[in-house]
Amino acid sequence: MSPSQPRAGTFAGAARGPILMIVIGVLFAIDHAGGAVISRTWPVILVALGAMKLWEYGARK
Amino acid sequence: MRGRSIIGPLLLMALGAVLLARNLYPDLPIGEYIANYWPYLLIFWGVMRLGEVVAWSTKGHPLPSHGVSGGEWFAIFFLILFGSGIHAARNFPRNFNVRVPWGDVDIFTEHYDYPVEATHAAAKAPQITIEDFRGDVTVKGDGENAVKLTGHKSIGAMNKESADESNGSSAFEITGDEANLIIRLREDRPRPQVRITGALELSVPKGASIRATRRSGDLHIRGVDGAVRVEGRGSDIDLEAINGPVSVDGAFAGTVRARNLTKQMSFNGRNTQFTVTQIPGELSVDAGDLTATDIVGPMSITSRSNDLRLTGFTNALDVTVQRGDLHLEPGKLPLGPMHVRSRSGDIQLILPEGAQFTMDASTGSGDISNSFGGGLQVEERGRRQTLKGAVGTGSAIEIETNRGDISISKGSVLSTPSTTADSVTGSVTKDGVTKNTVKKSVLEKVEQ
Repeated sequence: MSPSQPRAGTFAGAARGPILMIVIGVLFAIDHAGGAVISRTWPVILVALGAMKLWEYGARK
Repeated sequence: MRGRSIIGPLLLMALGAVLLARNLYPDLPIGEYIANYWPYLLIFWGVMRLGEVVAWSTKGHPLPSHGVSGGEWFAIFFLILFGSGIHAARNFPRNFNVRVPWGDVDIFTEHYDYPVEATHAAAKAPQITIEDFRGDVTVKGDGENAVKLTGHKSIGAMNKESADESNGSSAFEITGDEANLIIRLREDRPRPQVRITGALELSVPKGASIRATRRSGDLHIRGVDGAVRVEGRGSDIDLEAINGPVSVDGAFAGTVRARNLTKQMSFNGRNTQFTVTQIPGELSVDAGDLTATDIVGPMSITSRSNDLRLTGFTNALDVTVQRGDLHLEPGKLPLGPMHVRSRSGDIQLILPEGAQFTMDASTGSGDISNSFGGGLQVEERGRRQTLKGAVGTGSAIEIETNRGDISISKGSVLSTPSTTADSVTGSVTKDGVTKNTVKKSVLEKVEQ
């Protein structure tokens, strides 16, 4: 299960997927633990995606 | 060469350990653990991947352009589907009402209806409080000195037995004394997963005052002489033939409609606030439009973004809109003072023939067209245009928009859009020459 792309990437680009995975996991964990339900908290994923894109742009400069 | 991923072997080991545990200890509630804790696997997976990326980066290995491959996302998608499916299935016996995680759609739920009937003696002009419960309520004023509640209670549940059980431990009821009555849903053993909704008709003394707090559903109130106060959330609010002051305060997803109100109405919504002195005609406001026909001012409106269409209004008007097109057509002479401010949007003012006023209109960026005539002067300074002047002696009309066109034209007294005769519209060209064109109002209506 090693990442398939052989091309070299930036740290921000490579870290984006794992961070997104953690965010999704945390949202589902909160949902299942009886906290805020995923149907309400899902926009956090968009916010995280946007923030990481910004980070990537910043890192590229 | 960058290091190989250790996630695959670790996941394989975890899966083996879980299956082994199930074989060695058959009593362990493995399913329960998976249903509740599968998101931690996702978190763990993400943390490991992130750790790998950090490790590769510090060791100077070349980094992949994506930390998570397409195939992995595919696996993650199925993990989420599988995990939330197991979670929903596991909680099935506990919740009567299994919710799809992203939506308010009930599946596996039947709705069972039970009749509601209650009566309570009331004073001539009682205060009636409708408490917060789900569902639709219709309130009608009549001549009797009693409050009557009819309709039905709808219970969403898995089967008839549990619905019957919930029905036995809950009731829509009227409590309080003759002067202060409360309509409420009593739940002795409230369960969050059982949803009780009402579709109720309430017949009240004509002199009653109503106070309602809503959570959802429609509310109709008709034919009462006391004050009406509505607050909370919900869909449609419909108010008709009310002789007391009306106040509506809250976030309503549907349309708030008012007809034939003889006292002041004040509205405080998420997007729009207004007060109006009387509504002999009709006013309706929803997420994007505020439309009113035949209303009595003084009226003041503030809105973040709404198109306004006011026809047949009288007395003073004060409008502040951030964004939206305004169509203003006062109905009677003499005109009341008008103060209209908009940050962005076109403003169309149709004044009755014979109207007397002093005009001070300006747009920061846009065109002003005057087909009313009457010696009003258009001035241009850069992108800014102003229209100033007086027609007879009358109230001040001040119109100001930062961006948008302003048009002033002639209509007939007490006109509504359907009765407007041929109207004259004009436009000011860049060199300041006024061109007039005659348009059929039918065409205008089509455009609108």
